[in-house]
Amino acid sequence: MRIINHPHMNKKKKITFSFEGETHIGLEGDMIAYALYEQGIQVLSYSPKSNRPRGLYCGIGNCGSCKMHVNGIDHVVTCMTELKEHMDIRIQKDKDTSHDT
Amino acid sequence: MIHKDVIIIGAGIAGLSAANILSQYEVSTLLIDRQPMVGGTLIKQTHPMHAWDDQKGFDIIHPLYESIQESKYVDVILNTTASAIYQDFVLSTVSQDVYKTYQAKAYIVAAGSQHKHYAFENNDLPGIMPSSVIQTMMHTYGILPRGDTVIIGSGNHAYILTVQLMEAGVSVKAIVDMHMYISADEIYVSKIKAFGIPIYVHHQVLEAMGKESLEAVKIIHIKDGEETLLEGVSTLCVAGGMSPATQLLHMAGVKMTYEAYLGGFVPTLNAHYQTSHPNIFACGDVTGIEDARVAMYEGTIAGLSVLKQLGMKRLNIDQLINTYQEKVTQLKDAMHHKDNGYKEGPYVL
Repeated sequence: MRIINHPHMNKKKKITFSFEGETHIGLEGDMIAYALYEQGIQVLSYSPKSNRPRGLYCGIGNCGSCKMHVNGIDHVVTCMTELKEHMDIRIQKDKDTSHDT
Repeated sequence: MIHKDVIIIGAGIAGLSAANILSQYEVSTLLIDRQPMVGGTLIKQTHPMHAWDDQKGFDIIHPLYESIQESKYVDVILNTTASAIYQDFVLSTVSQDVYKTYQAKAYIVAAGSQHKHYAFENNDLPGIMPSSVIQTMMHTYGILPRGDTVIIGSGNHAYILTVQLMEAGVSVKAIVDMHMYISADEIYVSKIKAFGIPIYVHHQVLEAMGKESLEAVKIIHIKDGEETLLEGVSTLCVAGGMSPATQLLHMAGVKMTYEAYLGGFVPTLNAHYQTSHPNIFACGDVTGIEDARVAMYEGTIAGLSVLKQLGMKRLNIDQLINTYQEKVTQLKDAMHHKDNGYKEGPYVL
């Protein structure tokens, strides 16, 4: 849920993006993980060994809990990556894929 | 490789204060922060702060940043992480997959702090977040935490956050305070009591429950062992204190000591905030968790010390350093006196 009429924030442009193939809307300047949280998406990745759900945790790029597939690249630290128009964002379930050759 | 006179890591109140001193001289300075904005934690304090004559965080940051921006000697780069300081004192940075290397005559590490977490079952469930993330969410992105919220923590910080959440319209279900008594100032506690939020004193979280995200929290009385189940909880806000973000200092190999009352490992410093390596200085929360005013004075001292080391002439530089050192000592004494017992905590069973 967004705070409407926040005393310290200006109006921002809407940004359309895709999460697991579904269309969602965020605001300009949002970091991906925060925009997803606002849209009700809490699970961002699953831990590779015990398959436990991982959400937004540290929010400052320390913990790695929010690493996701973004535009085909994996391990993107989504709490530190700005949301852009038409981004394709997906849950990361395994250790890795896209960087392997 | 890019060469600079001084590189400051962290644009919070400490780093900005250091940059402010350096900006008045012909010293090429680079200020790096990994966040998209300057101001660190202080800029997110949107309540009138007691210790700053009821000013708000951004009231302090904005004028400081404006004066730095006017200087042609200081460059500020944001969204950029200082990823390493190597043994040959080369600094590497990363920003959106682009790596760069820098070398400076002096480094000021003002990296701040990071949150501590509590140990309890399922403490990794989505929905469990540190208080700083909740603050960022509300004050930077204008997003409210989901559903009913429970706050675990102690000290003024936990209670101030509760007031902020209530005022923003978030439903706060309870505060879980580990102390035997309510560990905050009366002005915040009275507000919370007026809202009718229950405060579970001398309690700890035993278990978080939920499938894909948080659904319920089980808390336990530390002494009696009496368990209480708080159902329908979507967000657990952990205000469990901070520890210094010393990764870069560890990597640079400077001498560190463990100080429990300062939050963990801290660099060993001399009176000029110089570490065991003469070219690396540290200031702010990375040298131990203290007040923001302490961080501001420490940043100023670090800036002045670097100027002195670089051979810049400034009238009464030693005298100025002394003045700020006295201010820091005064503040620390007053704070440790007041906090006596808060930080060590009566967590005995």
